[in-house]
Amino acid sequence: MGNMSPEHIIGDYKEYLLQHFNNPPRTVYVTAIETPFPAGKLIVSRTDLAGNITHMNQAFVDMSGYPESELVGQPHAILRHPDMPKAVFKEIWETASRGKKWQGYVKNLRKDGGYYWVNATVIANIRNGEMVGLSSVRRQPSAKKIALAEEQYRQLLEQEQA
Amino acid sequence: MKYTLSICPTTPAAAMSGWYILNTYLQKKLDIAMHIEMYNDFDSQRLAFEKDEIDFIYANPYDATLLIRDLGFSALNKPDDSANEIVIICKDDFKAQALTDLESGVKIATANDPATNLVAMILLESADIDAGNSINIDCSSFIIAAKQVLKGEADIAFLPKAIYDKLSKIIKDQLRPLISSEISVIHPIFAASEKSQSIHRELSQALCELTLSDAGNNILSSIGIPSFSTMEQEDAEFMIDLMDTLK
Repeated sequence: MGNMSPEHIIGDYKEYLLQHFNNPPRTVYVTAIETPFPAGKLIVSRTDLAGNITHMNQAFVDMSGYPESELVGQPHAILRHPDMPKAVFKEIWETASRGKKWQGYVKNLRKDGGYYWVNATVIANIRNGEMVGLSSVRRQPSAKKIALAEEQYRQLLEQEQA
Repeated sequence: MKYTLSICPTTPAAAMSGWYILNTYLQKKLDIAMHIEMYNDFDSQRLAFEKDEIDFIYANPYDATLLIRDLGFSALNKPDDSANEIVIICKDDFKAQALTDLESGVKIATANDPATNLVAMILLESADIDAGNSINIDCSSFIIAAKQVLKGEADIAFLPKAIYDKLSKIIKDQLRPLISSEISVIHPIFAASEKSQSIHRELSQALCELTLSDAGNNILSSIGIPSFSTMEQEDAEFMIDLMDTLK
């Protein structure tokens, strides 16, 4: 997963350096342009235990802004938005690893620097008693709950950066 | 051994004769004895497969977890282009133009189809509507649910897209889809019990080969399925994982 490229960005942007768990730092460019969740659809993807994308549906590809060839095998963190606290992803991993379902709101980063909110559910894929990866299904978020998540994540981010 | 085949209780009446013809076709093709057992609702059907009374089932995706992970059924086939898409309908002159216009206290007419109701309630989440702030009106069929909307007894109803598409023009002109799902990854499965394992391969192949003859294509047309594909165990496990994220 390399740095984002300014030539792919649409609109005015800010630059951030994101430190991902287990991955080298990545420069990302972020705009204030939101892409609405496609009504009636679900965004589906699976990752292996290393967090690399193994399967995705067309809605995942469309919303990410990347072609499928640039997503397969890449860390799921390719969609990580700098407004998302690290604690959320730690909680997702720990919850799913315990065999529990994680549900919450996530702000994702597109290839063009824009963003989209999802109401995500993540579960572990268990085969023959062993965890082999994670499946995530995202549905259309509620505007009220996005507002609550934005505030909660802003506070968490402040604590992480303090 | 005499086998028992069961199909989804919400199978449209128009498709029922097709399933009986398919059952006859499979008996001849595989040289087996098999009869169709129908159930009025999902609860009585679930009770039957928990009591080991069903060998083959064209099952609602909602039941896939119970069948495969708990009861040891194998997913043999899936219908092509037959995803469980749903439509949330309202009366044409209903005040809400979009899901987000729906308000707390909305009256929802539903038939007892767990997969349809699950997907529809997920779509309503974006409008902050849930079981706690809506009024459910139980209906004995999807047609009754649509009638509740037409009569103004319910504000919205959940219908499988396949049923909505087949409503008459007169009825459709009085209704309006508020939203249609485009999920595509959730579909019924043709599943088989462990005790019928000796004919799994033959039966699965027979379903896939229906498209190779005129008689087979006529059967497919009458049950509203374009064709069957084989289903790998991992395909089934993946769909179960998806269903589990939605429940």
